[in-house]
Amino acid sequence: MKRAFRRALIVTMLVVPFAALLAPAQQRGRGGAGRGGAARGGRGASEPVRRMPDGKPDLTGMYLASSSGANYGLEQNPRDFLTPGTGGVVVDPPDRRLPYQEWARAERIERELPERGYDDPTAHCFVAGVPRSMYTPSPYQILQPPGYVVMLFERMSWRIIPLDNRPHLPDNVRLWQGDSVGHWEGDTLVVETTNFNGKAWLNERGDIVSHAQHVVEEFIPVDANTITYRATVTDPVVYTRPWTIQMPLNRRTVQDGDTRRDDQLLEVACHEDNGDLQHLKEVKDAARAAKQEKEK
Amino acid sequence: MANKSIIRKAGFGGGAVLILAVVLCLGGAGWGAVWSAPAQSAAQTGARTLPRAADGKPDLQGIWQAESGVGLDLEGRLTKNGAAGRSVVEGGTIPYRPEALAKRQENLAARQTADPMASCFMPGVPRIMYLDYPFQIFQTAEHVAITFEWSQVFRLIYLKGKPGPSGFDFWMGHSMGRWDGDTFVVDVTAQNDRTWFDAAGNHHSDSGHMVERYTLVDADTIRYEVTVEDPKTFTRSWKISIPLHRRKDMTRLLEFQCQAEAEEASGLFERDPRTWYTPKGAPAPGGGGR
Repeated sequence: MKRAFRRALIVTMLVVPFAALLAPAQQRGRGGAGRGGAARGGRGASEPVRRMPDGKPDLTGMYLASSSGANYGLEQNPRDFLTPGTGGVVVDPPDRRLPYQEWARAERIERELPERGYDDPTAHCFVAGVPRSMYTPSPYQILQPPGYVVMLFERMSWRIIPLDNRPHLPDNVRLWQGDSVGHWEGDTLVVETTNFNGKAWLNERGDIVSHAQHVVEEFIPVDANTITYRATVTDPVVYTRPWTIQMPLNRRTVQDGDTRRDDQLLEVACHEDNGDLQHLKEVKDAARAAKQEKEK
Repeated sequence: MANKSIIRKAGFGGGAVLILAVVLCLGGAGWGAVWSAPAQSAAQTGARTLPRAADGKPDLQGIWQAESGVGLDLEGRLTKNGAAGRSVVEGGTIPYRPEALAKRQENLAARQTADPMASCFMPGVPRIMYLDYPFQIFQTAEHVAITFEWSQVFRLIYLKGKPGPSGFDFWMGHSMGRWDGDTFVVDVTAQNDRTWFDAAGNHHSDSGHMVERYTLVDADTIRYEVTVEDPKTFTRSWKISIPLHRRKDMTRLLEFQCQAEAEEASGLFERDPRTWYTPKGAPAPGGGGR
């Protein structure tokens, strides 16, 4: 109880000064003056899936996930004090909870402590990993150059997905975004990703993956402006069984005369202007000092 | 919990964080006079043997890298191991205005800490193109994308479409591309004034206009030329020319995460032995939960 109160207090101290900044910044970036006042989204009547000259679906465009707050928790979570509630995107197991091993569930709860905010790699502006890159609240551009699907994330990272069935990288090559190889199964783009370094978190709540993570993603075109995204994660270090999340990815277009065109990516200079990491570090250092004091 | 870090990781903490803009596309008319005749004739000579994309344009796709060390000093004064350097600037030196030259000297003296890349900040254009890291070019009907191994930075170059709202600037600028015969030409505008051209403190203002020309001279070499126009900083436009070589030994880009590497080395970002990868054969890290 006491801990929860203190947590709330620290969170308040941390968040309130920035919350005021947050809203206008987002507004500016997302459809305010920064976008020329153009409305984003703009999905009209359903148009058929676009096609490449070879008949494969054309996924080209700028997208943003409708993620029910997945960047703040993959399971359904009630709204906490100043924490957005999350709708839950887990579709398997049937109880919609992540099948954590015991140690991992304990670690997940530990990661909710204020002092652990510093440990989320994205607080340091490191890249988000997979599948998190797909549901951070920031858009991305999908391109289909010959032989590849390429994703460019507004927070400055990319995924390159070759479609040539090449083997994965040697086991000792480890990457934040992993090593992705894709192929088409009918109209569905299937992407398999391995070789993770195990440094990424799945969201701010601290949902866990390790170096053993193996992700199979499905991009299922629904219409010209919508993709159903599914990701199945197998990670025997953290979980007792594989689990699957699902959410729609919505194409973001702007009206341009008589036609609609894809909106343009901006640039999030996260690290270049990261003034707030220091606050998270102070909270962490203070908590550590208090713990050491108590142990004496 | 979640909220504590929303602001941070979102990278939305205030207007300064999102540096944005989509800027007027400058048609590029009038730049043709800048290009030297040899560049064009060389492109024509090899025209028949060049790899071509499905639309008939030269196929620039693949993994490329500039000659090592170019990014140290465009004028070739600073070199690795003190070896004799070579300027890639046409005419040898950059035509600074006096006050801008003074600023360059200041930057040069303080470069160990003042270089934005010492802080792992995005290098801007053209510097990103001649770091000692590979990058990959992709071509589609409406875009050319360049992905960089350095910190997963990318450039999205628009071939079609209208410019967006103006009034903001970017670390990596706003790029509009077009084909001039067999040469890919990119107008880069809307860059901020915080990036350098190299590690020697060569700098520009927020009014810089860079025109890049990518000419495939053979299957494995791109002649990369940039003309820089920035009247606030230079007395006239100036030009660099750098060869980019195909990395035939690479089938995919890896990652060099500048800031993550730095924070792991300094201990600011700490290893979690329960989740991080440990190479096989290496001693298991202690203190883990498993």
